[in-house]
Amino acid sequence: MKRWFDLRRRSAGLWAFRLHRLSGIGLVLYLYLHLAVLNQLRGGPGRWDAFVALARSPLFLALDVILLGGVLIHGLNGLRLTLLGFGRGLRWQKQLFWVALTLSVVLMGWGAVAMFRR
Amino acid sequence: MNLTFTLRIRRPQGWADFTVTVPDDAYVLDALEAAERHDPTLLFRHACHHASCGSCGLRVNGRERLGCVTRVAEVASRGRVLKLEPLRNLPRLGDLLVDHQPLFSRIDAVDLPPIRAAASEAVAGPQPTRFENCIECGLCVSACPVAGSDSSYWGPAALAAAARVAAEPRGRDVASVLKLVDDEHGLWRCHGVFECTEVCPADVDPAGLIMGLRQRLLEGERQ
Amino acid sequence: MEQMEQIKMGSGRWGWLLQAVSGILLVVLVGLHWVAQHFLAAGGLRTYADVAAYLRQPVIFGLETAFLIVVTTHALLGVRAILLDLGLGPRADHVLRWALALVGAATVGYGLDLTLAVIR
Repeated sequence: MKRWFDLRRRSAGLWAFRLHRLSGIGLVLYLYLHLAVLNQLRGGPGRWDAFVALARSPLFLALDVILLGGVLIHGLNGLRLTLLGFGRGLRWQKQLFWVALTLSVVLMGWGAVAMFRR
Repeated sequence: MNLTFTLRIRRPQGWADFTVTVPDDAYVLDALEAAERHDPTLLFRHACHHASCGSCGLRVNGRERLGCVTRVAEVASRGRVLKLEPLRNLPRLGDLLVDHQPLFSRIDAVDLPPIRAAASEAVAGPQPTRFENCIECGLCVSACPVAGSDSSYWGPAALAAAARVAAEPRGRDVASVLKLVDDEHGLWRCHGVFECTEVCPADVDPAGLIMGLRQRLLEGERQ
Repeated sequence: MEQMEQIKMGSGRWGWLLQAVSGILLVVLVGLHWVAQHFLAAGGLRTYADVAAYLRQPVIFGLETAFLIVVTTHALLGVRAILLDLGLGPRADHVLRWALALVGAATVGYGLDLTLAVIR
Protein backbone atom coordinates (compact mmCIF):
# COMPACT_ATOMS: atom_id res chain seq x y z
CA MET A 1 0.00 0.00 0.00
CA LYS A 2 1.30 3.41 -0.84
CA ARG A 3 1.66 5.63 2.18
CA TRP A 4 3.78 8.24 0.49
CA PHE A 5 3.36 11.81 1.44
CA ASP A 6 0.79 13.05 -1.04
CA LEU A 7 1.95 16.48 -2.20
CA ARG A 8 -1.45 17.07 -3.69
CA ARG A 9 -2.80 16.39 -0.22
CA ARG A 10 -6.20 15.16 -1.23
CA SER A 11 -7.38 12.36 -3.42
CA ALA A 12 -9.34 12.15 -6.65
CA GLY A 13 -12.48 11.28 -4.70
CA LEU A 14 -12.44 14.56 -2.81
CA TRP A 15 -11.86 16.56 -5.99
CA ALA A 16 -14.75 14.70 -7.57
CA PHE A 17 -16.95 15.60 -4.60
CA ARG A 18 -15.97 19.26 -4.73
CA LEU A 19 -16.49 19.56 -8.49
CA HIS A 20 -19.77 17.70 -8.27
CA ARG A 21 -21.09 19.93 -5.54
CA LEU A 22 -19.85 23.14 -7.14
CA SER A 23 -21.29 22.25 -10.55
CA GLY A 24 -24.51 21.14 -8.88
CA ILE A 25 -24.99 24.46 -7.13
CA GLY A 26 -24.12 26.30 -10.33
CA LEU A 27 -26.62 24.26 -12.29
CA VAL A 28 -29.48 24.85 -9.84
CA LEU A 29 -28.80 28.59 -10.07
CA TYR A 30 -28.62 28.33 -13.84
CA LEU A 31 -31.91 26.39 -13.97
CA TYR A 32 -33.82 29.16 -12.27
CA LEU A 33 -32.02 31.88 -14.18
CA HIS A 34 -32.89 30.09 -17.40
CA LEU A 35 -36.54 29.68 -16.44
CA ALA A 36 -36.72 33.36 -15.49
CA VAL A 37 -35.16 34.44 -18.77
CA LEU A 38 -37.63 32.29 -20.71
CA ASN A 39 -40.30 34.62 -19.43
CA GLN A 40 -39.16 36.93 -22.22
CA LEU A 41 -41.23 34.69 -24.47
CA ARG A 42 -44.35 36.26 -23.02
CA GLY A 43 -43.24 39.52 -24.62
CA GLY A 44 -43.86 37.99 -28.00
CA PRO A 45 -41.54 37.89 -31.01
CA GLY A 46 -40.32 41.46 -30.43
CA ARG A 47 -38.89 40.81 -26.97
CA TRP A 48 -37.80 37.27 -27.61
CA ASP A 49 -36.01 37.73 -30.91
CA ALA A 50 -34.04 40.63 -29.46
CA PHE A 51 -32.98 38.38 -26.65
CA VAL A 52 -31.97 35.59 -29.05
CA ALA A 53 -29.79 38.04 -30.99
CA LEU A 54 -27.98 38.68 -27.71
CA ALA A 55 -27.81 34.97 -26.90
CA ARG A 56 -26.11 34.24 -30.19
CA SER A 57 -23.27 36.64 -29.35
CA PRO A 58 -19.78 35.23 -28.67
CA LEU A 59 -19.93 36.24 -25.01
CA PHE A 60 -23.13 34.30 -24.45
CA LEU A 61 -21.84 31.33 -26.37
CA ALA A 62 -18.72 31.37 -24.23
CA LEU A 63 -20.92 31.25 -21.14
CA ASP A 64 -22.80 28.40 -22.76
CA VAL A 65 -19.53 26.52 -23.10
CA ILE A 66 -18.89 26.92 -19.38
CA LEU A 67 -22.42 25.69 -18.75
CA LEU A 68 -21.74 22.72 -20.98
CA GLY A 69 -18.62 21.96 -18.97
CA GLY A 70 -20.59 22.08 -15.74
CA VAL A 71 -23.28 19.80 -17.11
CA LEU A 72 -20.70 17.34 -18.40
CA ILE A 73 -18.67 17.01 -15.24
CA HIS A 74 -21.77 16.80 -13.08
CA GLY A 75 -23.43 14.27 -15.35
CA LEU A 76 -20.43 12.06 -15.96
CA ASN A 77 -19.30 12.09 -12.35
CA GLY A 78 -22.93 11.48 -11.41
CA LEU A 79 -22.92 8.32 -13.51
CA ARG A 80 -19.72 7.32 -11.68
CA LEU A 81 -21.37 7.92 -8.29
CA THR A 82 -24.42 5.91 -9.34
CA LEU A 83 -22.22 3.01 -10.38
CA LEU A 84 -20.28 3.15 -7.12
CA GLY A 85 -23.49 3.41 -5.10
CA PHE A 86 -24.56 0.09 -6.54
CA GLY A 87 -21.29 -1.40 -5.38
CA ARG A 88 -19.84 -1.59 -8.90
CA GLY A 89 -16.42 -0.43 -10.07
CA LEU A 90 -15.20 0.31 -6.55
CA ARG A 91 -11.66 -0.71 -7.37
CA TRP A 92 -11.55 1.86 -10.13
CA GLN A 93 -13.24 4.78 -8.39
CA LYS A 94 -10.27 7.10 -8.96
CA GLN A 95 -9.73 6.07 -12.56
CA LEU A 96 -13.42 6.53 -13.24
CA PHE A 97 -13.12 10.10 -12.05
CA TRP A 98 -10.15 10.82 -14.30
CA VAL A 99 -12.07 9.32 -17.23
CA ALA A 100 -15.11 11.46 -16.40
CA LEU A 101 -12.97 14.59 -16.14
CA THR A 102 -11.11 13.90 -19.36
CA LEU A 103 -14.29 13.13 -21.24
CA SER A 104 -15.84 16.33 -19.89
CA VAL A 105 -12.96 18.43 -21.13
CA VAL A 106 -12.87 16.74 -24.52
CA LEU A 107 -16.62 16.93 -25.07
CA MET A 108 -16.67 20.51 -23.81
CA GLY A 109 -14.07 21.43 -26.40
CA TRP A 110 -15.88 19.59 -29.14
CA GLY A 111 -19.18 21.17 -28.12
CA ALA A 112 -17.61 24.62 -28.04
CA VAL A 113 -16.31 24.24 -31.57
CA ALA A 114 -19.67 22.93 -32.76
CA MET A 115 -21.60 25.77 -31.11
CA PHE A 116 -19.35 28.51 -32.39
CA ARG A 117 -19.40 27.13 -35.91
CA ARG A 118 -23.17 27.41 -36.04
CA MET B 1 22.43 11.33 11.13
CA ASN B 2 20.16 13.75 12.83
CA LEU B 3 17.39 15.89 11.45
CA THR B 4 16.68 19.36 12.78
CA PHE B 5 13.49 21.10 11.79
CA THR B 6 10.63 23.20 13.09
CA LEU B 7 7.64 21.46 14.56
CA ARG B 8 4.63 23.74 14.32
CA ILE B 9 1.82 22.59 16.58
CA ARG B 10 -1.69 23.94 16.64
CA ARG B 11 -2.51 24.68 20.23
CA PRO B 12 -5.79 26.21 21.43
CA GLN B 13 -4.05 29.57 21.81
CA GLY B 14 -2.59 29.40 18.29
CA TRP B 15 0.45 27.93 16.51
CA ALA B 16 3.49 27.11 18.61
CA ASP B 17 6.91 26.44 17.06
CA PHE B 18 9.44 24.00 18.47
CA THR B 19 12.91 23.47 17.04
CA VAL B 20 13.48 19.77 17.28
CA THR B 21 16.40 17.46 16.54
CA VAL B 22 15.76 13.76 16.09
CA PRO B 23 17.52 10.85 14.40
CA ASP B 24 16.70 10.79 10.71
CA ASP B 25 14.78 7.52 11.05
CA ALA B 26 12.56 8.91 13.81
CA TYR B 27 8.79 9.05 13.72
CA VAL B 28 6.48 12.00 14.22
CA LEU B 29 5.70 10.76 17.74
CA ASP B 30 9.40 10.91 18.60
CA ALA B 31 9.47 14.50 17.44
CA LEU B 32 6.42 15.24 19.60
CA GLU B 33 8.10 13.69 22.60
CA ALA B 34 11.17 15.82 21.91
CA ALA B 35 8.94 18.91 21.85
CA GLU B 36 7.29 17.79 25.08
CA ARG B 37 10.67 17.80 26.76
CA HIS B 38 10.82 21.54 25.99
CA ASP B 39 7.24 22.09 27.11
CA PRO B 40 5.66 19.47 29.37
CA THR B 41 2.21 21.05 29.02
CA LEU B 42 1.95 19.78 25.44
CA LEU B 43 -1.06 17.45 25.18
CA PHE B 44 -1.08 14.46 22.85
CA ARG B 45 -2.00 10.79 23.08
CA HIS B 46 0.19 7.77 22.41
CA ALA B 47 0.43 4.21 23.62
CA CYS B 48 1.59 1.24 21.60
CA HIS B 49 3.82 3.02 19.07
CA HIS B 50 3.13 0.35 16.46
CA ALA B 51 -0.18 1.20 14.78
CA SER B 52 -2.41 -1.17 16.69
CA CYS B 53 -3.99 0.93 19.45
CA GLY B 54 -5.24 3.83 17.32
CA SER B 55 -4.36 6.46 19.95
CA CYS B 56 -1.94 8.69 18.08
CA GLY B 57 -4.01 9.86 15.12
CA LEU B 58 -3.39 13.46 14.10
CA ARG B 59 -3.04 15.64 11.02
CA VAL B 60 0.50 15.90 9.64
CA ASN B 61 0.82 18.78 7.17
CA GLY B 62 -2.94 18.69 6.79
CA ARG B 63 -3.21 14.98 6.16
CA GLU B 64 -4.53 12.33 8.56
CA ARG B 65 -1.74 10.02 9.72
CA LEU B 66 -0.74 7.86 12.69
CA GLY B 67 2.11 9.61 14.44
CA CYS B 68 3.81 6.40 15.44
CA VAL B 69 4.42 5.06 11.95
CA THR B 70 4.91 8.29 10.00
CA ARG B 71 8.58 8.92 9.50
CA VAL B 72 9.71 12.47 10.03
CA ALA B 73 12.03 12.21 7.04
CA GLU B 74 9.03 11.51 4.82
CA VAL B 75 7.16 14.64 5.87
CA ALA B 76 9.82 17.16 6.84
CA SER B 77 13.33 18.04 5.86
CA ARG B 78 16.00 20.52 6.90
CA GLY B 79 14.50 23.95 6.86
CA ARG B 80 10.94 22.79 6.33
CA VAL B 81 8.16 23.19 8.85
CA LEU B 82 6.27 20.12 10.01
CA LYS B 83 2.73 21.14 10.89
CA LEU B 84 0.75 19.10 13.38
CA GLU B 85 -2.96 19.56 14.09
CA PRO B 86 -5.56 17.50 15.93
CA LEU B 87 -8.02 15.24 14.11
CA ARG B 88 -11.14 16.98 12.84
CA ASN B 89 -14.79 16.24 13.48
CA LEU B 90 -14.27 14.97 17.02
CA PRO B 91 -14.54 17.12 20.15
CA ARG B 92 -11.23 18.73 20.94
CA LEU B 93 -9.86 18.33 24.45
CA GLY B 94 -6.65 20.34 24.01
CA ASP B 95 -3.59 20.69 21.76
CA LEU B 96 -3.53 17.49 19.72
CA LEU B 97 -5.96 15.64 21.94
CA VAL B 98 -9.48 14.76 20.77
CA ASP B 99 -12.31 12.82 22.37
CA HIS B 100 -12.93 9.51 20.58
CA GLN B 101 -16.06 8.74 22.58
CA PRO B 102 -18.57 9.73 19.87
CA LEU B 103 -16.79 7.32 17.54
CA PHE B 104 -16.69 4.51 20.08
CA SER B 105 -20.37 4.99 20.98
CA ARG B 106 -21.43 4.65 17.37
CA ILE B 107 -19.34 1.55 16.82
CA ASP B 108 -20.81 0.08 20.01
CA ALA B 109 -24.32 0.88 18.78
CA VAL B 110 -23.73 -1.31 15.78
CA ASP B 111 -22.96 -4.20 18.12
CA LEU B 112 -19.97 -5.56 16.27
CA PRO B 113 -18.85 -8.86 17.80
CA PRO B 114 -15.42 -7.90 19.13
CA ILE B 115 -13.58 -11.17 19.27
CA ARG B 116 -13.18 -14.05 16.88
CA ALA B 117 -13.52 -16.92 19.35
CA ALA B 118 -12.14 -19.66 17.12
CA ALA B 119 -11.02 -20.17 13.55
CA SER B 120 -13.78 -22.75 13.20
CA GLU B 121 -16.32 -19.96 13.57
CA ALA B 122 -15.03 -18.26 10.46
CA VAL B 123 -17.54 -17.79 7.67
CA ALA B 124 -17.25 -20.40 4.97
CA GLY B 125 -16.66 -19.13 1.46
CA PRO B 126 -14.56 -16.23 0.18
CA GLN B 127 -12.08 -14.66 2.56
CA PRO B 128 -14.08 -12.17 4.68
CA THR B 129 -12.91 -8.58 4.95
CA ARG B 130 -11.04 -8.35 8.19
CA PHE B 131 -12.76 -5.44 9.83
CA GLU B 132 -10.99 -6.68 12.89
CA ASN B 133 -8.22 -4.59 11.39
CA CYS B 134 -10.02 -1.45 12.49
CA ILE B 135 -8.11 0.18 15.32
CA GLU B 136 -10.76 2.89 15.86
CA CYS B 137 -8.19 5.60 15.35
CA GLY B 138 -10.64 8.11 13.91
CA LEU B 139 -8.55 9.11 10.90
CA CYS B 140 -11.49 8.27 8.63
CA VAL B 141 -13.89 10.45 10.62
CA SER B 142 -11.42 13.32 10.45
CA ALA B 143 -10.99 12.98 6.70
CA CYS B 144 -14.70 12.75 5.93
CA PRO B 145 -16.17 16.05 4.69
CA VAL B 146 -19.70 14.96 5.62
CA ALA B 147 -18.69 14.17 9.20
CA GLY B 148 -17.33 17.70 9.22
CA SER B 149 -20.65 19.38 8.59
CA ASP B 150 -23.22 16.90 9.89
CA SER B 151 -22.54 15.83 13.45
CA SER B 152 -25.35 13.28 13.33
CA TYR B 153 -23.72 11.45 10.42
CA TRP B 154 -22.83 7.91 11.52
CA GLY B 155 -19.45 8.21 9.91
CA PRO B 156 -17.24 5.80 8.00
CA ALA B 157 -15.96 3.69 10.91
CA ALA B 158 -19.39 2.90 12.36
CA LEU B 159 -20.89 2.22 8.93
CA ALA B 160 -17.98 -0.05 8.06
CA ALA B 161 -18.61 -1.87 11.36
CA ALA B 162 -22.25 -2.33 10.35
CA ALA B 163 -21.15 -3.74 7.00
CA ARG B 164 -18.92 -6.13 8.88
CA VAL B 165 -21.80 -7.31 11.08
CA ALA B 166 -23.89 -7.85 7.97
CA ALA B 167 -21.11 -9.86 6.34
CA GLU B 168 -20.27 -11.98 9.35
CA PRO B 169 -23.08 -11.80 11.92
CA ARG B 170 -22.06 -14.47 14.46
CA GLY B 171 -25.46 -14.43 16.07
CA ARG B 172 -26.01 -10.67 15.86
CA ASP B 173 -29.35 -9.41 14.58
CA VAL B 174 -28.37 -8.20 11.13
CA ALA B 175 -31.81 -6.81 10.30
CA SER B 176 -31.80 -4.48 13.29
CA VAL B 177 -28.28 -3.27 12.57
CA LEU B 178 -29.18 -2.59 8.95
CA LYS B 179 -32.31 -0.77 10.07
CA LEU B 180 -30.14 1.40 12.28
CA VAL B 181 -27.82 2.54 9.51
CA ASP B 182 -30.37 2.53 6.68
CA ASP B 183 -30.97 6.16 7.44
CA GLU B 184 -30.66 9.69 6.06
CA HIS B 185 -27.80 10.31 8.43
CA GLY B 186 -26.37 6.84 8.00
CA LEU B 187 -25.63 4.99 4.81
CA TRP B 188 -27.32 7.53 2.56
CA ARG B 189 -25.37 10.54 3.76
CA CYS B 190 -22.13 9.23 2.29
CA HIS B 191 -21.19 11.00 -0.92
CA GLY B 192 -18.57 8.58 -2.11
CA VAL B 193 -15.63 10.86 -1.42
CA PHE B 194 -13.42 7.87 -0.47
CA GLU B 195 -11.14 9.99 1.73
CA CYS B 196 -11.81 7.56 4.57
CA THR B 197 -10.42 4.67 2.56
CA GLU B 198 -7.47 6.85 1.51
CA VAL B 199 -6.37 7.61 5.05
CA CYS B 200 -7.22 4.37 6.81
CA PRO B 201 -3.98 2.86 8.20
CA ALA B 202 -5.57 -0.58 8.61
CA ASP B 203 -7.02 -1.23 5.14
CA VAL B 204 -10.61 -1.29 6.34
CA ASP B 205 -11.87 0.45 3.15
CA PRO B 206 -14.93 2.02 4.82
CA ALA B 207 -16.13 3.63 1.59
CA GLY B 208 -16.08 0.32 -0.23
CA LEU B 209 -17.97 -1.36 2.59
CA ILE B 210 -20.57 1.43 2.65
CA MET B 211 -21.13 1.08 -1.10
CA GLY B 212 -21.38 -2.68 -0.71
CA LEU B 213 -24.03 -2.28 1.96
CA ARG B 214 -25.93 0.13 -0.27
CA GLN B 215 -25.82 -2.41 -3.04
CA ARG B 216 -27.20 -5.00 -0.67
CA LEU B 217 -30.07 -2.76 0.41
CA LEU B 218 -30.87 -1.61 -3.12
CA GLU B 219 -30.81 -5.02 -4.68
CA GLY B 220 -32.37 -7.04 -1.89
CA GLU B 221 -30.84 -9.75 0.26
CA ARG B 222 -28.23 -11.94 -1.37
CA GLN B 223 -26.48 -15.17 -0.38
CA MET C 1 -40.68 -6.29 -7.66
CA GLU C 2 -38.76 -7.65 -4.73
CA GLN C 3 -36.79 -4.44 -4.56
CA MET C 4 -39.93 -2.35 -4.16
CA GLU C 5 -40.87 -4.20 -0.97
CA GLN C 6 -37.45 -3.52 0.41
CA ILE C 7 -37.56 0.18 -0.19
CA LYS C 8 -38.29 1.87 3.08
CA MET C 9 -39.78 5.28 2.60
CA GLY C 10 -37.96 7.98 4.49
CA SER C 11 -34.77 6.02 5.07
CA GLY C 12 -32.87 8.04 2.53
CA ARG C 13 -32.67 5.10 0.21
CA TRP C 14 -35.66 6.37 -1.73
CA GLY C 15 -34.09 9.82 -2.08
CA TRP C 16 -30.80 8.43 -3.30
CA LEU C 17 -32.43 6.11 -5.79
CA LEU C 18 -34.63 8.87 -7.19
CA GLN C 19 -31.59 11.11 -7.51
CA ALA C 20 -29.66 8.39 -9.33
CA VAL C 21 -32.52 7.48 -11.69
CA SER C 22 -33.37 11.11 -12.47
CA GLY C 23 -29.67 11.72 -13.07
CA ILE C 24 -29.45 8.93 -15.59
CA LEU C 25 -32.58 10.19 -17.36
CA LEU C 26 -31.11 13.68 -17.41
CA VAL C 27 -27.96 12.57 -19.17
CA VAL C 28 -30.24 11.68 -22.08
CA LEU C 29 -32.75 14.54 -21.71
CA VAL C 30 -30.13 17.25 -21.31
CA GLY C 31 -28.27 15.88 -24.32
CA LEU C 32 -31.41 15.98 -26.43
CA HIS C 33 -32.36 19.43 -25.18
CA TRP C 34 -28.93 20.86 -25.92
CA VAL C 35 -28.80 19.41 -29.41
CA ALA C 36 -32.35 20.56 -30.11
CA GLN C 37 -31.66 24.12 -28.97
CA HIS C 38 -28.26 24.65 -30.55
CA PHE C 39 -28.18 22.54 -33.67
CA LEU C 40 -31.55 21.89 -35.23
CA ALA C 41 -32.90 25.32 -36.11
CA ALA C 42 -31.17 27.51 -38.64
CA GLY C 43 -28.80 29.78 -36.74
CA GLY C 44 -28.86 27.52 -33.70
CA LEU C 45 -31.06 29.27 -31.13
CA ARG C 46 -34.68 29.64 -32.09
CA THR C 47 -36.64 32.77 -32.87
CA TYR C 48 -40.08 33.18 -31.37
CA ALA C 49 -41.79 31.62 -34.38
CA ASP C 50 -39.36 28.70 -34.26
CA VAL C 51 -40.01 28.17 -30.54
CA ALA C 52 -43.76 28.10 -30.98
CA ALA C 53 -43.56 25.68 -33.91
CA TYR C 54 -41.10 23.50 -31.99
CA LEU C 55 -43.22 23.28 -28.84
CA ARG C 56 -46.44 22.60 -30.73
CA GLN C 57 -45.16 19.17 -31.73
CA PRO C 58 -46.68 16.68 -29.24
CA VAL C 59 -43.53 14.57 -28.87
CA ILE C 60 -41.46 17.68 -28.22
CA PHE C 61 -44.00 19.05 -25.76
CA GLY C 62 -43.91 15.72 -23.97
CA LEU C 63 -40.12 15.53 -23.90
CA GLU C 64 -39.60 19.09 -22.74
CA THR C 65 -42.25 18.69 -20.04
CA ALA C 66 -40.62 15.46 -18.89
CA PHE C 67 -37.27 17.25 -18.92
CA LEU C 68 -38.64 20.05 -16.74
CA ILE C 69 -40.14 17.64 -14.22
CA VAL C 70 -37.05 15.44 -14.03
CA VAL C 71 -34.57 18.31 -13.81
CA THR C 72 -36.58 20.11 -11.14
CA THR C 73 -36.83 16.90 -9.10
CA HIS C 74 -33.11 16.26 -9.41
CA ALA C 75 -32.16 19.86 -8.61
CA LEU C 76 -34.33 20.11 -5.51
CA LEU C 77 -33.24 16.69 -4.24
CA GLY C 78 -29.70 17.98 -4.66
CA VAL C 79 -30.48 21.13 -2.68
CA ARG C 80 -31.95 18.95 0.04
CA ALA C 81 -28.83 16.73 0.10
CA ILE C 82 -26.60 19.76 0.59
CA LEU C 83 -28.82 21.12 3.37
CA LEU C 84 -28.93 17.71 5.08
CA ASP C 85 -25.15 17.68 5.01
CA LEU C 86 -25.25 20.82 7.11
CA GLY C 87 -26.97 18.80 9.83
CA LEU C 88 -30.74 19.30 9.68
CA GLY C 89 -32.77 17.65 12.39
CA PRO C 90 -35.87 15.57 11.56
CA ARG C 91 -38.29 18.44 12.10
CA ALA C 92 -36.37 20.81 9.86
CA ASP C 93 -36.10 18.06 7.28
CA HIS C 94 -39.87 17.58 7.39
CA VAL C 95 -40.43 21.30 6.77
CA LEU C 96 -37.82 21.29 4.02
CA ARG C 97 -39.46 18.42 2.17
CA TRP C 98 -42.74 20.28 2.02
CA ALA C 99 -41.08 23.55 1.07
CA LEU C 100 -39.13 21.91 -1.75
CA ALA C 101 -42.22 20.03 -2.95
CA LEU C 102 -44.01 23.37 -3.19
CA VAL C 103 -41.10 25.01 -5.00
CA GLY C 104 -40.97 22.04 -7.36
CA ALA C 105 -44.67 22.16 -8.10
CA ALA C 106 -44.48 25.93 -8.65
CA THR C 107 -41.54 25.50 -11.00
CA VAL C 108 -43.25 22.89 -13.12
CA GLY C 109 -46.47 24.90 -13.04
CA TYR C 110 -44.63 28.01 -14.20
CA GLY C 111 -42.97 26.11 -17.03
CA LEU C 112 -46.18 24.51 -18.23
CA ASP C 113 -48.04 27.80 -18.05
CA LEU C 114 -45.32 29.53 -20.06
CA THR C 115 -45.25 26.77 -22.66
CA LEU C 116 -49.00 26.89 -23.11
CA ALA C 117 -48.86 30.68 -23.45
CA VAL C 118 -46.34 30.37 -26.26
CA ILE C 119 -48.07 27.66 -28.28
CA ARG C 120 -51.46 29.30 -28.21
